[in-house]
Amino acid sequence: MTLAFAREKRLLLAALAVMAPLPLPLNEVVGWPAVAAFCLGAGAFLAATWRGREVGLAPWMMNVLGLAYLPLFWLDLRYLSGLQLVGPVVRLALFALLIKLLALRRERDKWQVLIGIFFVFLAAMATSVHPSVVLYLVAFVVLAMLALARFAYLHVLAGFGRLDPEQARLPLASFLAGAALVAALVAVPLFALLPRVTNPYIFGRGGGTGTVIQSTGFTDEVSLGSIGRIRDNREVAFRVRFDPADRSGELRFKAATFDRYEGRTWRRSPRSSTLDGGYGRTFQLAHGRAQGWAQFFLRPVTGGSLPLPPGALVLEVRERRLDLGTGGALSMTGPARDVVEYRLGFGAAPASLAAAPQQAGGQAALDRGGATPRIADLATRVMGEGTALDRVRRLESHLATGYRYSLDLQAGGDSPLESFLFETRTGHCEYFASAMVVMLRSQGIPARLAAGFYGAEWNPLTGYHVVRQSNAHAWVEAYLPETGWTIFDPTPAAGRPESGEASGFAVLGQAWDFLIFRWDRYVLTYGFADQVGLFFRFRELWLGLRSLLRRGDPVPAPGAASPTAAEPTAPAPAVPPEPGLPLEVLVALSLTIAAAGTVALALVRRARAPWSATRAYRALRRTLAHAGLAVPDHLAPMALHRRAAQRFPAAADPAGRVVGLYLRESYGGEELPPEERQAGKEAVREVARGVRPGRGAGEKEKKAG
Amino acid sequence: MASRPTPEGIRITKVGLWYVLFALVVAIAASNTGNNALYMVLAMMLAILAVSGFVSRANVRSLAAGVEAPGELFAGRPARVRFTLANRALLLPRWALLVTVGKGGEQRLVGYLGRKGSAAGEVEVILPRRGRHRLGDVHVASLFPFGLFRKGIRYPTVEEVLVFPELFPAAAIRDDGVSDFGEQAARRPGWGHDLHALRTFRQGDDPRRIHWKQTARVGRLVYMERETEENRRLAVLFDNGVGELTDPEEAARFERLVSEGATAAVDSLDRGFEVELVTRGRSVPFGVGRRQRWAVLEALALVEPEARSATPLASSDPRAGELRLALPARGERVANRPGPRLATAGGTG
Repeated sequence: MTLAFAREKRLLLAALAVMAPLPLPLNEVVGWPAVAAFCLGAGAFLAATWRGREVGLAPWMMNVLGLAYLPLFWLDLRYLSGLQLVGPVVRLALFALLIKLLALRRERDKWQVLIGIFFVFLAAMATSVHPSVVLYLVAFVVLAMLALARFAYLHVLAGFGRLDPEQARLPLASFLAGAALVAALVAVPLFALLPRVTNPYIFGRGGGTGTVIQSTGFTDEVSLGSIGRIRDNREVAFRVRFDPADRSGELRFKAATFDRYEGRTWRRSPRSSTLDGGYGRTFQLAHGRAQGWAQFFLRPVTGGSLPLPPGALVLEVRERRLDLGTGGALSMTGPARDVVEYRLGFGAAPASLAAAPQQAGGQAALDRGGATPRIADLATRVMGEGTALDRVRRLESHLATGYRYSLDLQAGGDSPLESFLFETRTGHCEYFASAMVVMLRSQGIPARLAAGFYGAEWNPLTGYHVVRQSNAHAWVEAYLPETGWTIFDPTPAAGRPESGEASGFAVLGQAWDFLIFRWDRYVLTYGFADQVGLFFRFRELWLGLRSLLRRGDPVPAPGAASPTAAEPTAPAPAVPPEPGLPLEVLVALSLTIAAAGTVALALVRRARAPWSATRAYRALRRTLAHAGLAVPDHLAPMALHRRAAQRFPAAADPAGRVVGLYLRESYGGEELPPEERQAGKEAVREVARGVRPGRGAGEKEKKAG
Repeated sequence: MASRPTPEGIRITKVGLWYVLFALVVAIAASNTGNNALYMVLAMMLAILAVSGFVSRANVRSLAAGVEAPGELFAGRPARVRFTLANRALLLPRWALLVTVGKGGEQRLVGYLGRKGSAAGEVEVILPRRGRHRLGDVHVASLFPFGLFRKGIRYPTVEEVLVFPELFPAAAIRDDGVSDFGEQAARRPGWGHDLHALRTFRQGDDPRRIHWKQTARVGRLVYMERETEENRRLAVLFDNGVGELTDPEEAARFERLVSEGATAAVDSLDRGFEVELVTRGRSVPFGVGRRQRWAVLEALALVEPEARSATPLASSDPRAGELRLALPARGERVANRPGPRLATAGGTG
């Protein structure tokens, strides 16, 4: 069937086609040239159609172009994309869509183009992680709704034979605005409730959200200068909310420690033990009374390290086991893919998570790798005599005041530390800390490099601190007999990452950060655990409400049972054994199976039930339409019969029977007996046989003969 | 008073099926990969589905529908029925409504119905049986908004109509000789319209009937005598005393007989005859004009089989032409007066 209202349909499809692939280059799935070429082609088609010019590729041309693209696809796959399938397939889809769009002639083509657009849109969405994709989604949905609404209306008009575009006007703007709003509002709870069966998976670059974070302190091996390379990076590493919120004093979060220095590379402290948090997922790290709590939202990082403030006492995290390094740093047993949320109780004084150097890993803290005689000599001169604490303080002060902080380093050579200490006298935190560790070890004082984050940006909009990549920092932990493992920071104060509250335009940044945080946390990485949490939260609310309605009891505030700063650190609560499958999942599965069974049963019953004459009549219309007879909506039953009899004489008699039954049932108000209804069904089958090509009149005559 | 509108269910269209299929594909992809962007698409698709279902439901509701029957409705003959549709909703307009009177009849499109707006139109309906019927309900369906579903609702109407018997082409009846009934000339002077004879004017004649042309020609007053109109009378004697008709074939023949009577009566009335209808249990005396036509057709529309009776039906005017219509026993023929005897049993006309 040729395209009715062709101009409007082409315009709508071209607009959708131009819009569909827009996020693809931003996600680096396909490059700008491919998308630009596609958009140019579709845009030219749009412009030509707008001006009323007929653009149409002949079908043979479409086939030729399709075949011509095959070698290009192979070249693309083999050489340009290195056998990575996604890019070439998306480019192929774009090419096919453009060709199909240009060859748009029949009603069927319209749907094929729409399907192509849908898949390109799906590829664009699936590879997007930036929050702005929501705007894209809404805009696309509005346009798609407009196209569907117009197609439906134009289809009805064409059925009535009204092909005048003037008659096709329909005020839809307010409807579309309202429908889009309602759809968006309905989509939010649906998004939250749609069952998740696998862990959240993020495909794509991250487009500014930095879903893959390269951060110091989180890998097994860190070379000197790594922190310097990320100090300009404003990506958020994690967010932390303190309770009580007014957190004074310095903010320092240790993520990893490094024991062995090999010329210009630090190796991470080995694992000393695996902590088991039990079913309650509570890890008692040290004894003491929690003075405050902190809620962490750690973004996906490589290595799975958990940044902790120095006084960490108890940790609650959705992990059964955690690795404890010899340097007292904690990490998950595997890399994190989504946002890791954990809660930490900390004390007033720094608590050491590490044993004395004489115990496990102690030798590593005295390893003299990198300590050349020249460095040792300098250490001896600077540290002088006195208690260990005094000597270490002297060295810390010497470095902090005698050297200059800079991220712009030219240091190199075989011994970057010697270069730093004697030649350039300029470096960043990693150089300062590394130099101090090596110098302390040269004097027999156990020390190690600690890496993590220092300082944070307070976001008053949300009440949490934002710790960015630029807050990455390295410092020193030295073991002193009188104080145990003690933190020293030889980096000049001016070189340390800044803390504080941003102002002015930064408020906008904070608002954006607020958005990004929630986007990451509640959209990109929303998963099954969140759904379970949501379920329990609703359950808690429901129970509270029920209790209030029944007895008038006061409702316990959600989370009231959690320990607060005023309470002593509680041991891990008794938690029931972990079931194989959560009850909610079983209930949901049972309900789904029951619903599917009911639907299946209803379908079987419907299929077996004798047809009503109306159903037979509808089937007759469909059958005749399939056979190529024009059956517009407005065609009345008798006219349909006449038309059918004219075109398919062999089907005239059974079609007449169906129409007769239908008239009796619908106009005469008769309730037909089952036998007659069955006869109607049979008559429809006769019609179907009668309209088949090659059968019909001839066959009937043969049978009669 | 009309009862409440009845929803007629929701039917998924081919486009809707494709839409659901794609939603399923997205659901599988999303659950397989855990990609929340796909979950967003899926949630949006399901939300659109929900919005579509809700809007299509709302689009056909809160309407006031009415129908207006034409003056005469004959069984099996298309008739134009006027419908009105008013939007009673305060907020939402209505879009793309497909209106049908009676199930599956001719459709009319009402493109847009503003808030508190109304529209009217005509549709063709065919009522297959005579008798008293309610005009079909007003069925309103819509593919709006996205063509994913076709939602329908039935607005019951209180409009009751009398459907007259099906009329056959008059020529078919005349071919049977039925048309000659009542036209056999009485050859008696009377007060009709046709000329009977010209004679000399007598004292007491109506001077208005003097034929002045002949008078001038023959030189004396010539009176124009008219034929009596009693000879243009037809009595349709429809014997419905046939007992209970259990055989569908017999019932069909009875119906056909009713139609033949109606056709003959209407044709005769149209040609200026006085027509009388006599059935068992009801008679319509001789009369002419539209009122008589209505009365005869109404009686025939409502005639039902009565208990068998041996008493023959008789006209109030023994001299009037007669058309006897009865279901004869097999092989029996029915006598008509005057003229040739005709078989007028069902199925012969």
